[in-house]
Amino acid sequence: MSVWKNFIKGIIKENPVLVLLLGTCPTLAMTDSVSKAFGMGVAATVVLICSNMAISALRNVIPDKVRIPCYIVLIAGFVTVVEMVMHAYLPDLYEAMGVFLSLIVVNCIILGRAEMYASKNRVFDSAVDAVGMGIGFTLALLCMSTVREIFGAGSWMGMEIPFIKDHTVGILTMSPGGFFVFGVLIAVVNKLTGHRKRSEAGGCAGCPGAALCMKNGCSEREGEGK
Amino acid sequence: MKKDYIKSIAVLGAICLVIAALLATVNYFTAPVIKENSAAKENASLSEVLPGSKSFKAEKLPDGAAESVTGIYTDEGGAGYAVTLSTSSAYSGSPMTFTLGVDSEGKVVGVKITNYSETKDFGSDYPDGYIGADAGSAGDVNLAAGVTYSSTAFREAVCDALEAVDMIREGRG
Repeated sequence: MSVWKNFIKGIIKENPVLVLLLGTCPTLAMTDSVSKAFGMGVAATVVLICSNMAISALRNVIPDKVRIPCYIVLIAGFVTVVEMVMHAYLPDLYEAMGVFLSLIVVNCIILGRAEMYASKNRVFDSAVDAVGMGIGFTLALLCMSTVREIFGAGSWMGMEIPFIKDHTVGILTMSPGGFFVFGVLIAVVNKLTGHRKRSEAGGCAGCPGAALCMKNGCSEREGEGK
Repeated sequence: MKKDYIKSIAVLGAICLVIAALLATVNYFTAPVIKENSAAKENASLSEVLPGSKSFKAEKLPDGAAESVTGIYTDEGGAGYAVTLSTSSAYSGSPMTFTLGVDSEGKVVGVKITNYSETKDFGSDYPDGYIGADAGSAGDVNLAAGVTYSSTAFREAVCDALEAVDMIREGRG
């Protein structure tokens, strides 16, 4: 896969949030305001890049039996570094994100990329994959938070928008509104990527991650399960 | 087989050591900044919780004051007291810290949270329910649904603060 294709796949075709449906908890919790969504996106991207590179560099050293504990230690370490830096230099954003910042440790996108990609590919390719996935995650959060903040709170990045601020749809800033916007965005992305046609193919071939997964022996495992 | 186990333990141990060293290095640089920010926030909160205050004098904590009371400051203009508190219990493990303004009659006149480890917007308005409470009534303020753990710790800390202020006002301790 070319570097460009590797980078671009995380933005739409294999978008971690809107296509692979990973990282749903922070997506719903952090998208009631654009500034929180941006903070979460950047923090997760930094952790994703560092963990993907470290795991890829150590892929021939880490024994298979202890790979998950090793990944978790590395990811937790990078999350704690990001947390300490934000606490010192971005205290307002650190407070606004609360426990969701620490919960990046258990974000499925990061562990998923470590297991699916970084542990099987070179450091450079893993870094490119992480940048693409991180940008895809951040853009998905920004799209969702923009809709929720503008129409739910009548502001964008805290700046009030005339007229809309007097005609807000309050439910959009609450959990049901989050699910609604999430569903609509998934439908739009499915339409753009033609995912429905792939789903009709059924089995592993219908999965958005099929291209990579089948290369790593998914089709053999599917055959075993039958 | 045995060799595999030894290799697994050695690799995991080495990764833990490297990550611990990285965290220690980052902590070395960020800890003083975090401490400085917290101190600045705490100082600013003293005058914020006590309207009409001029300058503060630190009091010696009375004997028998609860552990949650970390500092008591008297306004030299006679407006009352500002008490800094740190609760020992919160879900995230990091303590909640806040400053309580108490007027010269022993009633709560202001609350300012300086560190809240739970997500900021969840139930952070329950402290306002303590405005006007005194040592006799603070224990009866309702807990907040959804944040019962934090609001219980908060209520206990407010009672501790009012008791400590009463000790100072009455010259006990």
